Amino acid sequence: MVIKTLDLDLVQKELDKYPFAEMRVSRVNSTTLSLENGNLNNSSVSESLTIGFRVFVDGSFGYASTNDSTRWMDTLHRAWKLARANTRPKKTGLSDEDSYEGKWVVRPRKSLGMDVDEKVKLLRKGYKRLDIPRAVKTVEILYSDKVVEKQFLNTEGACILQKYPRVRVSIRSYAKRGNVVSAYDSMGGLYGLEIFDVYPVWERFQKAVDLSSQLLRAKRVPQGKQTVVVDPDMAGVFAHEAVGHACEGDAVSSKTSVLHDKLGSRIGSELVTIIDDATLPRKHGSYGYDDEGVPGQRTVLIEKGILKAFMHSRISAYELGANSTGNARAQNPGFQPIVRMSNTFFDKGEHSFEEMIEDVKSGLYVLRMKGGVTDPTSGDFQFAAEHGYLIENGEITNLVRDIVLSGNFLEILHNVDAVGRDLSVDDIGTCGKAGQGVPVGDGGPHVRIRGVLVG
Amino acid sequence: MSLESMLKKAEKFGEAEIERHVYSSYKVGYERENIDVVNYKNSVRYYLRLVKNGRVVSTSFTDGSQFPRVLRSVMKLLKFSEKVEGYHLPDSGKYQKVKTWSNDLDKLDLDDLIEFVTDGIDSINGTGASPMEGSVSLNSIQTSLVNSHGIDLMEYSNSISAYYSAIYKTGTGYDFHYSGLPDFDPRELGKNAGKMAIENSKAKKQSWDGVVVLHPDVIGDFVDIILDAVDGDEVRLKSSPWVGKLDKEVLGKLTIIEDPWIPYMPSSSSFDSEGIPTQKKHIVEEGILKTYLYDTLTAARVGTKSTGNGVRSNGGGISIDVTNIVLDFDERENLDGLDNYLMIKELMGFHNANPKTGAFSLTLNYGVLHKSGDEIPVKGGLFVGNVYELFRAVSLASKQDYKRGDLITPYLVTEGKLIS
Repeated sequence: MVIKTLDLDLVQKELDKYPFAEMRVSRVNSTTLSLENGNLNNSSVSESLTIGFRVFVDGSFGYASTNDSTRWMDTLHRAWKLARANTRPKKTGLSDEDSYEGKWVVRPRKSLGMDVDEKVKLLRKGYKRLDIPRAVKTVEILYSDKVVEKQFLNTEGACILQKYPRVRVSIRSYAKRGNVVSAYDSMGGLYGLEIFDVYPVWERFQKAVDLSSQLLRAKRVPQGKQTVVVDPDMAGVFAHEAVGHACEGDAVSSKTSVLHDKLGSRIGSELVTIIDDATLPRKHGSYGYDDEGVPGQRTVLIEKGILKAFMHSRISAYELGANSTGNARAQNPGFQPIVRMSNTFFDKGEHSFEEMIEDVKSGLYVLRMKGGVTDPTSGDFQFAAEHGYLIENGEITNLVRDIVLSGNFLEILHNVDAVGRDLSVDDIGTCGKAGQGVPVGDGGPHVRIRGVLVG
Repeated sequence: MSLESMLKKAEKFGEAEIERHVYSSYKVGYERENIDVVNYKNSVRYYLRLVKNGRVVSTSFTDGSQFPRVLRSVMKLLKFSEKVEGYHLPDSGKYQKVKTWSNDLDKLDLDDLIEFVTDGIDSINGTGASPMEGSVSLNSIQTSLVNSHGIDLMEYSNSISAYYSAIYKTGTGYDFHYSGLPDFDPRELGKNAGKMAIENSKAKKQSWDGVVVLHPDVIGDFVDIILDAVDGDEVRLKSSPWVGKLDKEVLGKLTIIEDPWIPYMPSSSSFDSEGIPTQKKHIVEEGILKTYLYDTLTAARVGTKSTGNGVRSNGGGISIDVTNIVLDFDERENLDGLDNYLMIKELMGFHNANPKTGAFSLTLNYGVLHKSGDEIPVKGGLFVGNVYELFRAVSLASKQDYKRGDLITPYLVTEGKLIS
C-alpha cells in the first residue's frame, strides 16, 4: 500500500458514488548527488506524495489533487464539482477496456536502500578512475535514483499497484581553450545500483571526458543540405520527435497532427519501421500499466513505410473508435493523463555501418543527441547533436560540433535509404508536452538519410 | 509540525533554513471547440537546508510528519559535502515592499476562467481560423521562510496565465498573457491567435541575409541564453563567455535590467529563496556588463556577496535565476517606416542553442518578410548565428515597450541570416 493510512475499501466506496471515478496515488523517494570535479557540491534527498482524482460526469472530466492524505475525500468531491462546472464540455468518453487487479513490481538487483554515504563513495571511486586531460576544466557527474510506488483504483474494478526503481547517471565534461566546449553522456532505466554493471558507465564517462577535449579542435559543421548518417541515439530522437508526436492519438483526434488522415498510407521508404514499446524490460520509458490502468503495450506505428497505428489513451481511443494502446501517462497524479510515448525506436534493417558510410561521397556522421523538437501540425522538426564527423569519399574524417538538423519528416522519411542491422534502445530522456514531463526511452540502429538541412 | 518546531529540531545538527510553499491552482483547458480539462491542484512542499562547518545539504518533502526521518537521512550526506570555508546561512535584511498579491485576481472564480476560455475560443472562430488548444490558469502561492539567523518571512503572490492557439489549414498561431493582474482581454488574444494562423498558412520557405526585426516573444528566449553568461556559477567555473568582462562592452548599446519590484509582474518578489532582499539592478548598461548574479553559496565560493538571485530547485537546493527583465535601447523609432527586413515572431529549438559559445540554429515557425512594401509570411528554414553578436548588432528599437510575461522589451532591429 502506497499510503498506509489510506483505507482503499473506503476510497472504493466513495468512488462508487459517482458514475465514473478513479484515484491515482504516487509516492516517490529520491536521492540526487552531484559531483563537481570529484567534490559533492550538491546533494538532496526528497520524498513526494500526490493523490489525484478524475471524475467523469455527462461527457466532462474533472480533475483534482492534493498531497495531504487526510483531505482525499474533499479532493474527490472537488473533482466531481469541477466536472459539473464545465459549461462547454467536449462530450468525450472512455473506450471500453478490460479492468485489471494486480501488481507490477520491478525489483532492483542491487538495492537502492543502501545508505546514501555508500552511494557517494561509489561515485567518488569511479571518478578517481577517470584520466582527465589537461584541457578539461570541469567534470560534473550527476546521479539520481528514485523508488516509485503507484496505486490506481477506479469504479470499473481496477486495482493496480506498481513499484519500481529508476536510476540515471550522467556526465558533462567541459573543456576550455579560448572557447568552452562540452560533451555529455547518460545512462538509465528501471535499475538499482546494478546500473554500474549493466552499462560500462565509467568507460563511457572516460570517452565523454576525452571527447570534450577533442572538441576544442572541432570546427562548426558546414551548413546546407547533406546526406547524414545518424547514430542510434539520433535515430531514436528522430523516431520520437519527428514521428512519435504526430502519432499521438489526441493530436490525431483533434486533427492537429499532420498524420491525422494518413492511416494506411505510405509516409516513408520501405526501410522505415517505427515502434513504441512500453514492455521492453527495465528501459527508461517502460511501465506495467499506464495511468488509466491499461497495460503497457508494443505498438507498431510505421511498418515498412506504411502508417499502421496511432498511440491512444482511453479518451483518444473513444473519440477515434479504437482501443487504448496503454499510452495514457501523467507526470504525477496532479496532472491529467494524456497520450505519451514510452520507448520509441526505429527498427533495425540489413545494412552494416561500413556499407552505409562507403556509399557517401560527401556527408555527415552525426552522434549523440542533444535535443529535439517537432511541430506535429506541420511535420517540421529540428534536432541537435553534440558532435559528428565529416564523411568524405566514403570515409569518416574530421570532427565537427554544434550540429542542428532540420526539415519536414513527411519529406525526410522518404529519403531514408539505408538502415543498420545494429539496434540499441538505450537513449533516455524526459519528454515534455502540455506542461508535463515523463520519462521516455528511444533508440534505433544507424540510419542514413539524404537531403537533410544542416545548420 | 510548525516551521518553528522543524527549525528547532534541525538546529540540533547545524544552521538550518526551512521554506514552505503552499500552492493552489485552477486550470481550464480547451481542445478545439470545447473544454477538455478542469483541474484543481493543492499542495504543500517543505524545503530544508542544513549547514555545518561550511558543508551544505538539502532536502524536500511533502509530508511534514515525516520530518524527523527526512532529517536523519539528509544528515548522512553532510560529511561528504564540499566544504566552503566560512559559509553561513544569511542574516535578515531590509526588504522592499513589493505588490505580489492582486485582490482582483483573488476574486476570480472557476466560472470566470471558463468564460475566459470560451470567449477566446469564440474569438478564434470569429477570425475564420479554428481553435487548437489552450488554457487559462489561476495560481496562488504562499511562501514562508525561516532560518537560524533570524530570517522569518512570508509572501503571498498570485498570477494568471492564458494561452490560446489556433489552426488554419497548415498554419498555426498563438497569443498569451501572463501577469499578476487580470489585465487582459481573452477576445483580443483569441483574435491575434486566429489571425496569425491564417497568415502562417500562407507562409513559404525563404532565405534571408540582412536586417531582422526581433519580436518580443523571441527576444525573451534569446535573453534566457544570454543570462547564462552572467550566472555566477558559470563565471566561477570559467565557462561563461563573459568571464573577466565586468565593466567592459559585451552587448553593443543594449541595456538589461532586472527589476523584481515591478508591481504585479509574475516574478516580482521582495526576497529570494534564501531570504536575501531582491535588488533592482543593471545587468548590462548601454552594452557594458555591470554585474554577475549570485546566490549565497556561489558567492561564498568566489569571495563575493549574493545579489539576491537564489532560487529554490525541486530537490531543495538553490540555483541562480532572475525575476523580471526589462530591456532598453536608447535609439527608438516608430518601425512602421522600416522596409526590407525579416520580422521574426516564432522560433523553435532554443534549448539546442549553445550559451557557452552563443551559437544557435533555430527553425523559423513564423516570420514576415517586409519587402518593397509587401508583407510575405515566411516559415521553415534555419535562423543561424551567434546570440551575442545578434544582440551586439542591435541598431534600433521600437518606440513602444511590450510586456510578455516577466519580460518588458521593445522590438529590436538587428542583422541576421535565414537559410533554407
